[in-house]
Amino acid sequence: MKAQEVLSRIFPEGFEIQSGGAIFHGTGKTSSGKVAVIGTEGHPVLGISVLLQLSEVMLQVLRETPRRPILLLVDNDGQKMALEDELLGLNQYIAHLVMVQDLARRKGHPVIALVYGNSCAGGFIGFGLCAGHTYALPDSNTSVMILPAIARVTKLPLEYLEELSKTVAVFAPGVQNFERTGGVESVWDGDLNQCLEQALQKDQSADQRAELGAQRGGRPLSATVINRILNA
Amino acid sequence: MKKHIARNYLEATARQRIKDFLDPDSFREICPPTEGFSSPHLHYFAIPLAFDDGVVIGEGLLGGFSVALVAQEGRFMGGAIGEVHSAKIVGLLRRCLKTRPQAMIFLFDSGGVRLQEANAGEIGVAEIIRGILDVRAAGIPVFGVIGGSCGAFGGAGIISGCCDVLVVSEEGRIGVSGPEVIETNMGVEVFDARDRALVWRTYGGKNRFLQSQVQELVENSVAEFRAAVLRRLPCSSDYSLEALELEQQELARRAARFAGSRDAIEVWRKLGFTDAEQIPSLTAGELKKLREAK
Amino acid sequence: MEHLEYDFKEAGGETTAVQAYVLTGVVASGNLEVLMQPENLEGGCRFVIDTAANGFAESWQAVLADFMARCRPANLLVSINDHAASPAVVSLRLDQAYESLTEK
Repeated sequence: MKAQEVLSRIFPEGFEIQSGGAIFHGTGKTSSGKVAVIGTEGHPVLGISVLLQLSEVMLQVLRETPRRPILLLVDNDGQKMALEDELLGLNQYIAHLVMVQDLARRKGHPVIALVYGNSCAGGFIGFGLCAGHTYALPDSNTSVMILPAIARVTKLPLEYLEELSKTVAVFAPGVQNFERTGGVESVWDGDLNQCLEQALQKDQSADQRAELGAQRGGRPLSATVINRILNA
Repeated sequence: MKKHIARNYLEATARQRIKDFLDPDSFREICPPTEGFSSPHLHYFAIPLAFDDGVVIGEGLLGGFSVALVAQEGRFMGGAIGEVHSAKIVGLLRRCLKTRPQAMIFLFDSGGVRLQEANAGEIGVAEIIRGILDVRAAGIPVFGVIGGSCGAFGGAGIISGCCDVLVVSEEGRIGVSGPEVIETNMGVEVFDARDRALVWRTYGGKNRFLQSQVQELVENSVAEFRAAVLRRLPCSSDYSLEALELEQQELARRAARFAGSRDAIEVWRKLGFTDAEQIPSLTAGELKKLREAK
Repeated sequence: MEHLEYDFKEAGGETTAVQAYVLTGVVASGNLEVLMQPENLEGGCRFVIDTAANGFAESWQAVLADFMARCRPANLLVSINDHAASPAVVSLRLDQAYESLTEK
């Protein structure tokens, strides 16, 4: 689904978005007020320049509109792979964007990420998985690495991995796998405005993804290990 | 007979590093290997397990200061982060909010997310980041130490960027995509991974230090890493909007100033080091003196 | 991957453990990790091995028997994750672990 259509379905009461370079941002109307919107389109890779733009726009929301909910529309093909970006500390630019999202949430802004296109590896960590909650459209793509590449690196047959991924949610790409492992809170389908309204009501103060992964069976041990350590 | 423990940080195992890094006999391992939490997924890939899933966590003392500590074992699957590995770290971070140590110390040695448990590792990285930021928001400083053979790449590289202070050796490397991955995906013209000198100029501790991406540069010695962290204690974390605003300006300045740079040498020259080619052959001490003289 | 278990009856020696457990070695290619703990086995020792190198049961039997004869340990539970280490390296790790477990 294209960004325009996603926005129309999420904000039937209207939205105002401007495109600037690799990113778009603006606001959408909901029954409880305006929501800030920040996103990328055309699944760009996330390099230093795009990351700076995303964090600047988000900081603007923190400066000018306290506690306003922030909706992140995620569509990226992972981190940019270039010498220059690594030379200048790409990891820091991603970490910085993550911290801006995290601090926004601590300061009372609900931060909701919706994967509507692709989300990959470092790009997904930087923009998507470090929101207050992460959601995805059913036809979107969430991945760390595509299966043929995993087959190459692990030296296992692709057919074996494809078969394995039907029962083991922990390694293969796919929204269902990320939902089962607790990374995606839920899949948004049908009335996307309703989905947003529900998401806005959810408490974002605790990270409950390990418990979710246990309940759903995708990550059977994380919650147990965490609790064991808390009580040691 | 007292066993000789390696003083060389790079070549030491995680457990050997902990022994020399913390005050003698002060370390108590939490969720030890005897509890049986190894990977539930690796058997699908016919890969041998590690009883601690490649990470040691616990509590101890550093110069008398109470610390919580994570040490990744780079020799097990390249320190790669899987389900149990990440859960152990997350558990320790959440525990810090109860126990309130005076510092949290992360000995990084990881190439990033473990492919065989990719989704668990990826989500685990996000959970670790949240855990670190909870600790920082509580005022507890988080130190990252990078000097192992795997450095801090991928998700581990991103985690390292969320720490208060980074202490790195020349041998330590930090990045998101490693040189081989960039060469495979983008071609050898973009990055020749066999040019080791280029690899270290780009990702290595010296470059990170000269650009102020890390706060401390030390020699490859456990004692030096320990001293560098201890020098800064006690302190508290600065995780605030003001700090992030300053960081945004600094990052924007850096990007503008060095845009188009094709090699670290160019960047170092622009920073005012006229003899930039000599930098790779300087010791950490010599480089720090040179920088102070500016 | 192969799973092997060996039980040795008491070797006529004594073991005083000064730690609850010892972990020696790392699971890297050509290496192994040895987790050694005191365990009441009526004087005997148990070895539980998971190895990436299949078909070496006899070799393990020999290496472990040598270790039993050399150190004459008692009441040990030894758990091993092996990534195709040579018998020499296995012997080394067992000795290192035992020394750490019992050193004053």
